Formats: sequence, structure tokens, C-alpha cells
Amino acid sequence: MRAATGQVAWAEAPVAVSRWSRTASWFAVLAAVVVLVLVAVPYVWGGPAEQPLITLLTFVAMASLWNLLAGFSGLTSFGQHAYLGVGAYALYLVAAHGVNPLAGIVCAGVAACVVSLPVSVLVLRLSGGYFAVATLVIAAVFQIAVTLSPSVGGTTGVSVPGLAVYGPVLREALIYWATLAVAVVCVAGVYLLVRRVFGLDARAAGSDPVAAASAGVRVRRIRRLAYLMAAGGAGAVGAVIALQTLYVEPTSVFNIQYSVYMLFMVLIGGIGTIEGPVLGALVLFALQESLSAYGAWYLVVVGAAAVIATLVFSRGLWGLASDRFGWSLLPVGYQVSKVRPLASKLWKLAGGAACRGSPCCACRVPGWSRGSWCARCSRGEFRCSAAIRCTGCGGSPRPAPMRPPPWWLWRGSPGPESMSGLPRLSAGRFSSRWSGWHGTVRVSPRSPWWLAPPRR
Amino acid sequence: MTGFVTTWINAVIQGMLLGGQYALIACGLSLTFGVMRIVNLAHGDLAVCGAYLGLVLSTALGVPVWVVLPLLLPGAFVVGAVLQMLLLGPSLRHGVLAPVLVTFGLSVMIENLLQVAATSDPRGLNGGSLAVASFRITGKITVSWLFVCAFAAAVVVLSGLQILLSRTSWGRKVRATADDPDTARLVGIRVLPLFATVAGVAVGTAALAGVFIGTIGTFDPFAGSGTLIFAFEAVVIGGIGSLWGTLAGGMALGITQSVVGQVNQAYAVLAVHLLFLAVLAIRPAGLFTSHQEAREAGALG
Amino acid sequence: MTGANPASEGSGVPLLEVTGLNAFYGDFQALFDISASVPRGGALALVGANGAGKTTLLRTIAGVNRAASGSIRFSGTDLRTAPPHRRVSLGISLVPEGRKLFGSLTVEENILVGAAAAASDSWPLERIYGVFPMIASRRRQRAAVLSGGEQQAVAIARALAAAPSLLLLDEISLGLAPVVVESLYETLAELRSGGTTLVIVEQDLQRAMAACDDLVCLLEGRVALAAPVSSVSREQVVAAYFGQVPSGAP
Repeated sequence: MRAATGQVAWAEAPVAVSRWSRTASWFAVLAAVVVLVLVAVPYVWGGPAEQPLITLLTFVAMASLWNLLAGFSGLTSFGQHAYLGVGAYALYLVAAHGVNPLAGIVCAGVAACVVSLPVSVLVLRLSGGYFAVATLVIAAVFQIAVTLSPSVGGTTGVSVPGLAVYGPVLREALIYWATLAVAVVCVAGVYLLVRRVFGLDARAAGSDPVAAASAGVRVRRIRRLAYLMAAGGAGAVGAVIALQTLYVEPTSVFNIQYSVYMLFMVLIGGIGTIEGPVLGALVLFALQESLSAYGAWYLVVVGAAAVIATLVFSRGLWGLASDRFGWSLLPVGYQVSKVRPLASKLWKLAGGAACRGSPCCACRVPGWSRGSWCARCSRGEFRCSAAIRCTGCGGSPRPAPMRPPPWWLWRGSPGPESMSGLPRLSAGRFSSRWSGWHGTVRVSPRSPWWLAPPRR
Repeated sequence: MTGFVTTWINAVIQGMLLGGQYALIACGLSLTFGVMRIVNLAHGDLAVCGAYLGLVLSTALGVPVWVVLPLLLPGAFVVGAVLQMLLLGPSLRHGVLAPVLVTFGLSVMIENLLQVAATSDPRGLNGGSLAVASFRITGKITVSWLFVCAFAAAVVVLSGLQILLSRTSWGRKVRATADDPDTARLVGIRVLPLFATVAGVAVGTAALAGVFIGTIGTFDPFAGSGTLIFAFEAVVIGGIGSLWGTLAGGMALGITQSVVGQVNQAYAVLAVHLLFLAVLAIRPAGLFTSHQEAREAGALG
Repeated sequence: MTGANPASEGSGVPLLEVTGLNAFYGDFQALFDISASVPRGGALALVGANGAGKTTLLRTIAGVNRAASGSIRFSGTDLRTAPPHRRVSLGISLVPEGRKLFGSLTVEENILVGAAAAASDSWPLERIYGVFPMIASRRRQRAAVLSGGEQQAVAIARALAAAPSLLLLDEISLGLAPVVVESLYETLAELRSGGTTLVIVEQDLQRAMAACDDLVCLLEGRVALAAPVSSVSREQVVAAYFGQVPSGAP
């Protein structure tokens, strides 16, 4: 079935493009509920539940940030633990000067961001594996620099002051809430960021910098921004780690294990997706709980899992699930779904956007109205078939283009994200991967809000 | 000559010889990247593996480690070829970043397996009488034979590689594949077995370097990442894709470390890293490579 | 859409016979059911607009692209699963589009590399330099510094070093002066008289029809015209080239 090129009425292109989905709405509600439950944990379960949750939340935050760097921007950095350390020491310095450590978390994030700026100038000159090793060098430099500075305790480390004002129970709860806040901000922040133009640009720059640059993406700027933000986030996470242990020393806070964990979580969970790192954090947490007794074997398993994940199922657990079942809880790109031809015909017969009782806007007669798009203003206007003019702009409407029918009429579920994340919303050809159908979709400049291409 | 000057000359000489070791560990990394565009993050750990294997063999046979080299090096070659065929080669099909991730995971695995097998006690290799022999140049300057041998080994290996690459049929095929793997396949070069041999050579040089590191100093399971960093810095300073540049880079590192160490030992390693960062800031392609070549090789962003 | 009948050049088993070939780039189908054959010692011209699939067809025959279905028979041997190096040692050699020389190797090294999987010893260096005297004087220079015509000569020489019985040439006249192209085609005629079979992809219709016996015109991945050169007029070829007439093969 080859649709005519050029202007295509919706009726001839039974396909729908959207940025959100019903599943995503349900999931957003669920996520909000989960966060509320997590907030209530100190009241309901108290101390013993907080400790493991703090570890888990730290993992979630670290994984999301590393995913922003490697999954979305193509920068595989194995030196993020450098900024964990910077954040931890920044927190100490800030707390030693009398600032409340909890507010110091923000300062630590900012400090890490500031430190990462000159580093990014150097390190972003390299790419690929060379970039990866350069980040390792940076981490080593930071660690040595700290070890040689007696003002921050040298090799012995320092303890974080300023929390003594709180009683032990309240202190633990505050640290827990701080960790929760950092984790939520990291995940939500990365998600919202990636949904914007930045995410599109970052993914383009990550897949093919030359092609992206020729399409107008400012590759270096995007990479620098991603690096700065990941560093800032890592700084905040490092501060939280410091608060948790209340003692900061170089070998534990600049430990490369953190980078190993980040790599594992994102690879196992699903690189390049938002849900993947969270899943990976859960997996790592479960692994850690069950295998920590085995010492070094635990890390062997983690390393082996990372290798196997890259070679065998390179899209991670979440990638597997979303490929197989079409799940997408936090959609980032543009989803194309094919509509059943028969259903679309029925839908048209049934009157297009049957409003089931909404009054017709022109003559206010309730009941079934033929929904039409006014050609000039593209606002969906319900009007009686008797009325001729669109009440919105006064233009005369075209015959009913078909509004995409409800989700339960779609064939299957909305498909997985388009692979490159670059939507083909301008006039052009695309193919539905599942059925080999070729078609043309054109989006006019005044399309409904959920279809508008992002403004640059 | 005054004592002051001789101290500094001594430092420079020691640094140059130290640079030979760095060049030896770095040339395998340079070869892997130049031909296959893979940065093997497990390279340092493979060198440490070579040291451990040397330890096992030389203790089992009760001889200095030099005697077991003819056994160790071919074994390392085989290990490298197998790794390439099983892990690194397939990873290339999963995108540009996959080899980086795979080699990092491999590095973690190796380090922790060694930790399980051998505990984290520092070990040393039995270097026989060579390990302690030294000779005097002048009154104040003493040079250890071991350092000289390490440097000589680096020069021999680098020259050997250079000859292999420029004069033999294998070398021609390797250089052709490094230029354009697709066309190399087209003219009938069997690219995958070729990559395996290159990886084997790279791991062989790593094992040799590991043996020297283990004889000169001590090693433990986690020494690999430090070694990797030094090797990498030597490659970047010398220039991506240039074998002799790697020697120059290694020597630059060694001299910096030695000279700064003369002033304050604690700052020696930091000075080396800062030198690397300075080269990265001023001339990221390295001393002996043009910016264009480095960008084509895929190292520059 | 069957292939052209073997022309006057002898009967018997055609050297190359392609039947029902389909090839894809990912999800995109580049070749639809291509069939063609070339007799031993013959010359086939493969023409078509950009994107018609000529390079894809050559690369599929050479083994670099995978054929999804269909068969490629070379001297009766089915080649479909043979890797490129095996096809080279059987006697198929491709001169790729755009020359694709190894820039850091010298001219002589490029040619020697071409002999990596040679089918036989019948093309030693001296014989190659005899065919291309212009590059003999530049044998020690790096391939990247040569002129376009010399690079093309080196590319053909590299393919010859594998002693092919079937030489596939992809757009050798691209970017070259007519005088240079003329001399290249003279060399090709020499090779042909020496027994090498040729398949030439060419944008210049006149030259292609002058140098070859049979002609296959591709349009969007399908064979639009397949006939001996003597039996089609230029207008018919042009019509098939642009798809103005539905496939004209009788």
C-alpha cells in the first residue's frame, strides 16, 4: 500500500505519532505513589529499612547519570568516581565552614560542576576509548592531589562535621530523605532533559557526530553540557555518600568500583533508556545483597555480566523487554503506531471523532457530531453537519480527517522508540518495522500539541 | 663534575631507561589501536597476568624467569589471539563503544580473578643474578643491568615490529587493513585471523613488559590499571599510531617521573599525569602525529 | 527477466551466472531478483542511474555484500556462501568504486597486497608493470600522492595481481580526463584479448556499449533491459535507463 506523496489527509495514513502514551500516564502515577511511599519509610519502618534503601537510591542516581553520559551522549567515562570524590570533599569543606551539610549537597554538586569545566576542555578533545582512559587519568590525578593535601586530611581522611545537632534517628532520616531527593532529581532531571531538544541532539551526537554536526547539532556544546551535568549530579551523589559514611578518605571515595557499578547497572538494565538504569540498579542491589559474602568473586561476576551484556544482549534487560513486548514506561522519542485498517474504516463510519454527547460548538446541539478539522486553524472543532463555518476562525472546514482512534483500537501496543531517536516528522517516507508498510505522514505547522515537533 | 650535576644526570639516565619499560608496555596498546581501532582497557591487566604466569612457571621449574620466557611468550600470543576471536572481534559488531565496555569488564574480571587466585600480597619475580647486577659509569652514577635490558628489550621489540610491519607480507596486510578494513576484505585479506595475530603480538609484548615490571618492582592484582594509564599516556604523548613516538613518549614519562622524584618522591606520579594533561592541552595528537591522522584514527573527538 | 543470451563469444557454461539475486541493506532491498550471465571471455556492461544497484550487484558478486537469496554460479560452482577471500582465490576480483587504495602503502605494496589470495601465479609484478608502464616509474611512492588516473591504474593493477579470470570494474572513469579514460579502456581491451572476462559498470553509455558485448540496465534494483549490445539501440537503452518504458526485454 503506497500512499500518495505530497499532502496526505489523515484518513489515508492510518498511523499515529505520539510522545506520550496511556501506559506512561499510569506509570507516572505509580512512580509518584512509590516516591510518596519512600518518603514515608522513616515514619513507618524506621532505621533498618533506611540503610539498604539509601544504597539502592545511590545506585539509581549514579546509574541514571552515567546513562546520560554514555547512553545518551556517547561518552563512555570510567572516571565519574572522580566527581563523587570531589563532591564528598566539597561537602566536607562546606560543612567545616559551618554550612548545614544538607544544604551542602547542593554546593557539592555545584562545586563538582565547576571543577569539571576545565577538565572537560581537556578531556573532550578525545573520543571513544581514548576518552575513557583519559577520564581514568583524571580520577587518578584528583585522588593523588587530595592525598597530597594535608588540609583535607591527606591519606587518613576527614570526618564530616555539622550533623551533631540532630539526634541519631532524625539524622538518619534526614540523610535518607536527602538521598531520596537526589535520586528523584537525577532520574526525573535526566528524563525531562532527554525529552527536550537536548536529548535528541545528544543522541544524534552520540550515534554519529559528523552526521549530527552537518544537521546543525552543536556537538561539542552538547557533549560539554552532558559532561558538566553528569559531573554535577555525581558531585551531589558523592556528597550524599559522604553524609552516609560521615567519613571521607581518598581510597574509599575515589574508588573505581563505583564506575564499575555504574557500567554494570546501565549495561544490564538497558543503555539508552530511562527505565534501564533503574532496573539495573535493582539488579545490582540484589546481587550485592546476595553475593557480598563472596568478596572478590562478586566483582568477577559483575565484570563478566558486563561483558556478556555488551556482547549478547546489548540492549540490556529493559531493551529486551521493550523490543519484545513493546513496553515503554517513560517514552523519550516519538512513537509510531499502526492503526488497523478495518478499525479505522469503522471509526470513520462511526463519525470520526465521535464526541458522544459533547455539544456541537456551532449550534450547541448535543449528540453525535461530525468532528472536523478546520483547514485554516487546525483546531478540532465539533460542529453540526448543518453548520458550514468553523466557529474558531470562520474558515470552511475540510471533510473529516480521522482523529487517531483510541489506544485499544491500535494494532498491538505502541511500538518501541524509533531507533535513532530522530523523528521523521517532515514529509518523507518511513516504514513500519513490524509490517513493512510504507507511508507518508505530514504534520502541518499547527498540529495538535502532542504532535508538535520540538521548538529549537 | 660536581655532585649536584651528577645527581641530575643520574636521574635523567634512570628516567630514560624507565621510559623503555613504559614504551614496552605501550607498544601493544598502540598496535591494537592502530590496526583494530580498539583501546584495550585490559592491556595493563594482561601484562600483570603475564607477570603472574611467569611467577608460577619460574617457581614451578625453579629457574629465573628469563628461562621460562620462551614458554611464556607464545602462550601469551595464543591468549591474545583467543581473546580477540572470542571477545574483542565480536564486540566490534556492536558499535564503536562496545569494545571499550567489554575490555573494561574484562579488566575487572581479570583483576578480581587474580585477587581470588593469588591474594593481594605484592609479589616479585625471580630475576636471577641479572636482577641485582649493575655497573658503574662514573663515581656517582650506577646503572642496573636490569634497567638496561628492559630498555634494550623495548628497542628490540619496537624495531622488530617496525621491520615486521614494513618488510613482510603480514605487515603489508596489517597496514592495509589498518587503512581500510572493508577494502582489505575485498582484495582477499582474511581480516579476522589477521586481527587475531595482531592481538596475539600485542598481548605477547604486554606479557614481556609484565615480566620486566615484575622483576624490577613488585606487582599485585590491581597493578594493571596503573600500568594501563602509564602505557596510555606514553601513546598519547608520543603520537597515536607512531611506534617510535611511543618510545619517545615513554622516555618523556620516565624522565619526568625520575627528575621530579629526585625532588619529592610523592609528587613524581602526579607530575607524570600533569605532563600528560599538558600535552593533551597543547597538542592532543601527540608529538609525532599530525592532527589529521589522529582524527582519522578516531582518537580525537 | 532472464539474462541475455550469450553473444558470439563461444557457447558452453557461462563463466558467471547470477540467478534471482536479492540483496538488502538492513531493511532496505537493493536488488530484486537479478539475473544475468557472462560468457567466458565476454564483456558485460552494467548501466543504470545512481542508486540503481550496480555497485551493490558487483559487491554481492565479490562477496562483500551478503545475498539474501538467489544463486551466483562461477564456472559452475555455487558461490553464495563463499567469503570474499575464497572468491578472490577462485578468480573473481573487484576494482571498487572510488579506487579505494591503501593510502599509506606504496604502489608496489598495494599491488602485492592484491596478490594476498591470488588464484594463480600468472600475473607477477613484471607482467603487471608491462600492462601499466606509467605506474612502474612510481612504484616506490605512497599511493595517496598519485594523480587520479595513476590511482585508477594502481587499483586495476591491484585487482590483476590476484590473477582473476573475472574482473569486475566499478566506475573506473569517475573523475578522470577523457584521455586517461581512453588509455584505461585500451588496457581493458588488451586484458580482454588475453582471456580475462570483464563486467564493467559505466556511466558513459557510449564507452560502455563500445567496449562490451552484452548490456544489462538496472533500474531501482531491477533489471530493466538485458540484451546483446548489437541488438539494442542507444535510444532503447536510454529509455530503459530512465524507466520511461516498462522493461523492454522480449
